[in-house]
Amino acid sequence: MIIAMIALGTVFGIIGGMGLGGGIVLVPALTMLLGFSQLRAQGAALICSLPMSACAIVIHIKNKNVYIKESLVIALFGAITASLSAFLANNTDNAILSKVFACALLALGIQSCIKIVTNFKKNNNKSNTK
Amino acid sequence: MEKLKYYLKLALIGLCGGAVNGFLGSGGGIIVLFGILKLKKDRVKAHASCLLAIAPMSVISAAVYVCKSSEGFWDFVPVIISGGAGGIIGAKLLSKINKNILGIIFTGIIIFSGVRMLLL
Repeated sequence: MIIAMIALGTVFGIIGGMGLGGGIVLVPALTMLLGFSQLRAQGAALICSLPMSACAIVIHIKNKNVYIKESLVIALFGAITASLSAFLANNTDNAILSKVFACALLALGIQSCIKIVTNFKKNNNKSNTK
Repeated sequence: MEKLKYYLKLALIGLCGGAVNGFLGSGGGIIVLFGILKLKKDRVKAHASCLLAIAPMSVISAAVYVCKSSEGFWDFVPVIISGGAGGIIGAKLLSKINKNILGIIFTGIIIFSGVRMLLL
């Protein structure tokens, strides 16, 4: 179990480090492969994202790569809804939570499918004009 | 007036991102990134700003999850530690790997997971 968790963590970290959305892959992996409840998997994904983003943020701020004022305004208002919706999630049935999560995954999947196809077309057009 | 509108837009991005991040435990970053890119052009800076904007929301949501949980989160320590190590590897690999192939694999995984979760 521990080895499986370390393996999952590493894969999630690599995906997250590449900026592809590690949490969104970690949650289904924890529920489907290791049998954790949806709520606990979501909590774990939140906690796991913290040390990694902390490191990344320090590097980005040092490189002056951040819109600091804008980020702080977003964070301030986001914190209000984040705490409310976290309470809501903790009072929601796991089965419902998992279905909502699945819909969000599919929406994201369809969106990235569209992006892949348009990128592919663009590259094709470029190579045709060469 | 223009400035007020700009700040209202930022507030709205925050409210939406926070709601998703707290309820689903992830995904708020995608909303915030989408929002920042509507207002700003620089993609790299948008990505980095998104991380900074999401972090306080994640801290607060994580605190709620931990306080409300009856089982605690200690059994996830291996995932947290190896996740940090993986993050460093990922950031270093980023420039060496074909992002198109990575995107296709990632899309495949999330669609498969979404369908499975919806059906089970």
